[in-house]
Amino acid sequence: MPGAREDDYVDHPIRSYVRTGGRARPTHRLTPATLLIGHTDPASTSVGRQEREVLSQCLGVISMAEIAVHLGQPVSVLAVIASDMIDAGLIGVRPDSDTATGPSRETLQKVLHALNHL
Amino acid sequence: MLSTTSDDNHYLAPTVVESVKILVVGSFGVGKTTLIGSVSEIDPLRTEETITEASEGIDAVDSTPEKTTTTVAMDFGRITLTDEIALYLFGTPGQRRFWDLWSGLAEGAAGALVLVDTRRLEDSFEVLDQLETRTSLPFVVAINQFPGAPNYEPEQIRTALDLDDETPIVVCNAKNRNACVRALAALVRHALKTH
Ligand SMILES: Nc1nc2c(ncn2[C@@H]2O[C@H](COP(=O)(O)OP(=O)(O)OP(=O)(O)O)[C@@H](O)[C@H]2O)c(=O)[nH]1
Ligand SMILES: [Mg+2]
Repeated sequence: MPGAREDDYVDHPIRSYVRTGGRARPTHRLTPATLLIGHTDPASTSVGRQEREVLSQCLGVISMAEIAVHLGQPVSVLAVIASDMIDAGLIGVRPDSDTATGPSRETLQKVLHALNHL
Repeated sequence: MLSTTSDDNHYLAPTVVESVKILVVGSFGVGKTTLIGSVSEIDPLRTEETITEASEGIDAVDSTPEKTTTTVAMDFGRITLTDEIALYLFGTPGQRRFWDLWSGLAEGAAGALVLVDTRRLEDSFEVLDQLETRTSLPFVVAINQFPGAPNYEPEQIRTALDLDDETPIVVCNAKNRNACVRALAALVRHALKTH
């Protein structure tokens, strides 16, 4: 299953380079429950301050919503930055996190089983 | 590398590859944040989004045709359920005028837990309307039994809220972890039936 859902991420042909008032639309579907993980050392000198801040929150697997809270930003703003960072290969998305089509039956069964045994 | 106890939960386990979300909806003060806090492995966190609302909506207080921006808070928590799956719970008021915010959240959600306070059942009408008419999300009604609140039979609640026969109604106590987990399990069971 992991890796099989790349199609879920909307990729506009114009990508994030069309900026409105200095802000781009996110090119990836990044929701509050999307899980990210950093691919780059935050201390790397080649990234800007914003990217470094995001990377410093991505030392492990973590949701968009949590990163947004830790950075004191709305999820919608983080989505724009994170989207560019994914395109640049700085961070990666767990492809089965919060997909647009929702959890599979198999996943729901696992969730139910786990809840019944909490 | 991360040493303090509060940081132990900063990240999910590296094996987590999948996240599932459930919405916790209900009118103001019904116990959404309390429920999330009872089951979450992290202290509930709050994000804020600025939304633009059209003031001409039915529930707008004044009739100015301009759009106004409002800040809507959304509380959330998480539970790591298996080595691979993390469940996220998002609490939103669910009113019509916040639709823009929670329509995005509804997409891909496993379902919604609708918290209801029996002292003010009518406050739940709008949230239920939104769920039924604007989403296809499976939902379960969870009665958050406040001390001193009237003790209705589930079938009385069904009639008062005009719920389908298929919609499960569970009694919950947002302060009690087990009760909250059972309510979530009822929702997932219902979602599996309709999946
Ligand atoms: N006794 C009792 N009190 C509760 C219960 N659930 C919530 N409360 C109390 O009710 C109040 C409101 O609860 P919240 O969890 O903040 O409600 P909410 O739905 O998140 O409220 P908003 O986010 O403001 O819409 C708090 O003072 C809670 O302590 C419950 O099950 N039993
Ligand atoms: Mg709340």
